[in-house]
Amino acid sequence: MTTRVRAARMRTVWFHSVFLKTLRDCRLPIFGWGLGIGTLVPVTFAGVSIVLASAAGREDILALTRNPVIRLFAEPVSVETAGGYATWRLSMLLPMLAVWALLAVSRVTRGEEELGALDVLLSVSGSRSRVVVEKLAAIAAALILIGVLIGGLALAGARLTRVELAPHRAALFGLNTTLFALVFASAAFVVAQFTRERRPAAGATAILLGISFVLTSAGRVIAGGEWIGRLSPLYYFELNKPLVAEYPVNGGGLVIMAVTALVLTIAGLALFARRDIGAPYIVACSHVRDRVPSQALPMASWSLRSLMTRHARGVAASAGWWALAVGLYALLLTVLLRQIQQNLRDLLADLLRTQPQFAPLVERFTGGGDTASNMVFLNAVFTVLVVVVVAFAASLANGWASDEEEGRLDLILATPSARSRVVLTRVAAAALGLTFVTASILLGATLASALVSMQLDLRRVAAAAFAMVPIGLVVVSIGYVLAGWLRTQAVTGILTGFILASFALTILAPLFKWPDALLQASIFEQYGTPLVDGPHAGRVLGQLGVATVLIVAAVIRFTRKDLTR
Amino acid sequence: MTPLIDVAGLTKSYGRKRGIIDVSFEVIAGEVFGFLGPNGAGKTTTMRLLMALLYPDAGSARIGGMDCWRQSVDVKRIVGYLPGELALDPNLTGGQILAYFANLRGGVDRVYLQALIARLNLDPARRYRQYSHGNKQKVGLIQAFMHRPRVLILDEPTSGLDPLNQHEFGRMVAEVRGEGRTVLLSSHVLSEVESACDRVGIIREGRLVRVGAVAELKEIRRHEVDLTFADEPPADAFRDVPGIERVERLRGSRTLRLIVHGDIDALVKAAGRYSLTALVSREPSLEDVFLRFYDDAGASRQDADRVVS
Repeated sequence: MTTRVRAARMRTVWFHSVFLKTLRDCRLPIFGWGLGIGTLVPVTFAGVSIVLASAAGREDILALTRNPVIRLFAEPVSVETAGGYATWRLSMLLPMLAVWALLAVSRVTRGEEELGALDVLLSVSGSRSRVVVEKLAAIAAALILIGVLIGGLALAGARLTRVELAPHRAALFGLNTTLFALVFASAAFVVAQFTRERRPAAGATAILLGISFVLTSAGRVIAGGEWIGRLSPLYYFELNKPLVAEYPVNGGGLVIMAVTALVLTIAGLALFARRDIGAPYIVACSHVRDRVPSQALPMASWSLRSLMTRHARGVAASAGWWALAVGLYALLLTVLLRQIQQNLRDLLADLLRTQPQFAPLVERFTGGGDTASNMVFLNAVFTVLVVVVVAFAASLANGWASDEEEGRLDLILATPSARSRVVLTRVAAAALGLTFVTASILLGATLASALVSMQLDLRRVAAAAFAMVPIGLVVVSIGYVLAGWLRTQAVTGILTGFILASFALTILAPLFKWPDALLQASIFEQYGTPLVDGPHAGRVLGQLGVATVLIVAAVIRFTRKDLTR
Repeated sequence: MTPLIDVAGLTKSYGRKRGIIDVSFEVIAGEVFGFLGPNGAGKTTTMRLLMALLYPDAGSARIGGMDCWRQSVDVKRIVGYLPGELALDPNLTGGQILAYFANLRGGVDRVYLQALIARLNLDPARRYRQYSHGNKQKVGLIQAFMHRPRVLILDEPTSGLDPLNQHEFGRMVAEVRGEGRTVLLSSHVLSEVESACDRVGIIREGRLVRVGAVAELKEIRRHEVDLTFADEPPADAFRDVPGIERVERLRGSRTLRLIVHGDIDALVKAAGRYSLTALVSREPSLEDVFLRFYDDAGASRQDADRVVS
């Protein structure tokens, strides 16, 4: 048998079953996420080993973990060791694998139903449950492979940097990440039974993921509130810290995540087996009729009047959900910040009894009345919120690329609308959406500050919230430029890579003492800390300038390109 | 007469893949021009080039005297377009989609729009995603017709329509022609092209191989004649008759099937020398003509095999 024949046979092997075909479709994410996240562990090991070698470096790291706000996002454990430091710094990044998992499950189940592709698959022999089980099994297999890559790279990194890490703990590190992502993959499958389309299913599950983060934070900082954390899958993920050598292995946490994923999958399968293909479960079972719209043509409907209003309406649908999510997140985290301040006061109670002269000082920093220290506390929340806003911006760019690829622009361009107008109105709608989402952050923080008597400089909070708009516009414009040449999947991949790389750069650059110019390549560094330092007009203008240049490039490209599918 | 659609030397390739090569044709005002060709021949590419969705590698295309790319916005004011594959917002109702496109065109005659909806029996209150394939096609057709464009470019317009709606579509095209407006359509339904179109262009592997009036194309027709003899059929007797392309004896019968190019007078005279029990002559359809353009190589090989000598 020639090599060519063997290669051809290997290629066709992937089309022998639904499982293999779905797994084949996941090959890029397997390597992208596996290598992307996996590489961060050895790189962090290498960086932190250098820092920990000096007493000053160790003191810097310990000083960082002394910031009480840090507990909001992760519990620092043994941060003076390479494993402890890596666990702490990557604790926000590893669960992001759940984002891919929920997107992938929404796509291969509800997404294929939406496109009608599932109709064809279900027309071949085999039960409908089997088809879906094979698809879900393929996503699970992909997550396991990603876990293997993450664990394998952690082990290799540990060997190279002489960090103590037993092979079974490296395997556990990968498994823990895989199981957490599996919980949200199966949650997305359940949610998809109640939606008509892929996007609401993914969006609602992403909100569940966000809630999971908030619950875990609340469990950490509210005195006696550990039970709140237990409601979140992230709590069980954090029960294991395999990179920390002395930290005990918690089999219960792993079992709870595995059982949750299994139960959700079975529930989803039961719902799937009882409903019509293409319809949500609730309609199929309750026989609720859709509201019968008027037969009259809605010529005067505001959203149908022009390209701009239609695009704005299109963005508003998703922006509403994102705004609700980030607004609530800002509100809850601000409330939790106040809780942290009160915890600190409780901790210092003994000190106050013996040394009452410190009372005014303690009151100043923990009483909620000192605007400057409150802004420093809130800054930690905003560093997370800017990541969410950037993710929203990436989703807007992704929507543009997919509309073009799926031919939804063809008929619009068959009307007397110039191509440049079509793209510019869409960018304007994206800017409106970003403004709306960032306004909800301002609203959430303002409401929370009023509720818990936490004094904030609201003008600065407003400036810091709206400073996320130009950052978002830079991401949108990068996506629009890429969409001029690349397909949706590539645009999404590159933007996700860009966001993750920015995140990694923010973590790694200080460790390795990389030059500031390199650090500034991170989109999050460009945002800076406007809550603490005040708005930076030059930086904002620079971002708007970059966005403008990229948008002009995107418009030029779009006006000259072929629209092919 | 100045052509309303003027295509000259239009060429488009997709990297290494062929698109269309040196396509030229003209369509005059008030004419219905049919574009025939199998899948992948280049019909959709030509139409998307006219709509400025694609940019040409070479050649020119003008509609109403305006360049399709440089003046695309002005061109689209006078054109109604139905793409081969409709992709519209699944969450909007048919009525919302039509209202949106009507607004993008600066408003349309609502009475005419309602009349189109009624003629094609579309329920505008349903969401696009809930429509059947045929109903989605109706939304596409109505949006193409609703602003009474001077030129209609319709890519497989009857795809998915039931026979009643296909008939109604035929009447709509006839009315458009009657009003002096112009239609360029592509179709696989050859009988529809035959009845609806004044002229036809046949495209093969990216090249326009024939353009002519439907009647002209049928001029190059071949007749299929069945001669049933009282005695043993004299196959050799027809070999030298002018116009005979193929002679075949139907299995288990005394019937010869003859394919004749052009006039059948010589054949009838030759057959008159024998005792016949039946003579049946069939008119070739446009489909036969079309298939001939696509099956030349294969047909000649088959002819050689099947000629009785």
